[in-house]
Amino acid sequence: MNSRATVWTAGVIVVSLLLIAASHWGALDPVENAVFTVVSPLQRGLRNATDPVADWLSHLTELNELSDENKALRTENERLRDEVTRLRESEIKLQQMEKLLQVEEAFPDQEFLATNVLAKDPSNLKEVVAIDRGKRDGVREGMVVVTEGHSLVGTVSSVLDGYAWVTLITDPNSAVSAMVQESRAQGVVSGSYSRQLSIEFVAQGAVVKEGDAVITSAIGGHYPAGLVIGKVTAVQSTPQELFKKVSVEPLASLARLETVLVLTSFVPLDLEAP
Amino acid sequence: MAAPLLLAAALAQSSVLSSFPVLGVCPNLVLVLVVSWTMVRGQKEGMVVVPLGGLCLGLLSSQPVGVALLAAAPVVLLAELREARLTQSDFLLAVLLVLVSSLVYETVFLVILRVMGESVQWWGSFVRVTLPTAIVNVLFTPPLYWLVWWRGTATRRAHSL
Repeated sequence: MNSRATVWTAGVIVVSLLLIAASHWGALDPVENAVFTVVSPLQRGLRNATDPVADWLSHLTELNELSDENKALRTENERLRDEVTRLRESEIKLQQMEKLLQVEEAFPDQEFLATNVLAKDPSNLKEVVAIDRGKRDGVREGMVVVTEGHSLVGTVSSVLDGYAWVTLITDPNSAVSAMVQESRAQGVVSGSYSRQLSIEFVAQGAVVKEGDAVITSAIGGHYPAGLVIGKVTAVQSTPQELFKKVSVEPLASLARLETVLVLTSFVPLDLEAP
Repeated sequence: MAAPLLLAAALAQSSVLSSFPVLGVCPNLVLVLVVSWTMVRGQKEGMVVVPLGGLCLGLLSSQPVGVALLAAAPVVLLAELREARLTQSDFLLAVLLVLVSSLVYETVFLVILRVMGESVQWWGSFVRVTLPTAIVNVLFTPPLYWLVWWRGTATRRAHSL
């Protein structure tokens, strides 16, 4: 190795470590914010320009699955209409009971902040997206992010003045307290490098079957209870193992997010109230 | 010339390419560009474009700014293989270097994430991310290498006139 390259490498390592430290402590936040302000219109433009192509390609590859999915959706639609009717009936009864018992709602109405997804972290090792709202809009680290249909997307992992990074539930470092809606079996939904979700720590005795809905549980205080995460796609159970292997398909289309909602009214347990 | 090219690549990587995954991953265009640039224009220019590329990636990433720069730094050291003339063809050497640099880049990135407190599955990340990214980067090398080579030739012609 020549001496110039050695000196250069040593210099770059020192500068990198200084930058990492400065960035970690927030000293580079104004620079990062300024960069985003300049490049975000370009990123938005590029995304908008290529979305139709991405849609077309995605439809092309999914054409075979669409027919089966359509059939399944029709059946599910019928079932859901029936469920909605029954739930409406239950809601009316509940309202009547609340009136009678003068019970106040346990939680006020949830407040959401609508934001646009600007970009994705360029590293394949991270499942993190940038949104166009930040500190000045009231976004805080740890806040929960959902889709317009209110299914879980992830949590805010870092915040700049006008922008924030959201770690998706498919990130390998994401862990969400969850339960299977039907059997109430508890577990932790984790992401992976293959962008697949699985529920860890589901006891062998728990009843979990394909198609079951997976929702957040309030254990740990990081997520409000009852947000939809996805549905169970496979269950593997071997007597030698302590826990079942449960695969989950996220309800939200996390690879193609456009608009998401930050749940501003829910403050995770380890955060101070805004 | 390198700065706009690297910025465009970083922008494409952070906005467009996530919609078009190949083998489940997106190519690291910036890395392929800095390796190609170093192979075509030499280690001296590599010492300029590698930090530029690392900063472009770092500023558009959710990780601290220096992480991508630190992960890309070994490219300059690996470029010494060019002087060793392992093959007669610069292009084949560039392909080999993109493969090795990609493996090194992702591994260094993982080490930094681990040091910063994230849990890392070494084998899982190698099979699902590191290896596929290296392969996809190699697939993207011919057009990007050609682009850098063509720019270099055009610049040399302009200077000789």
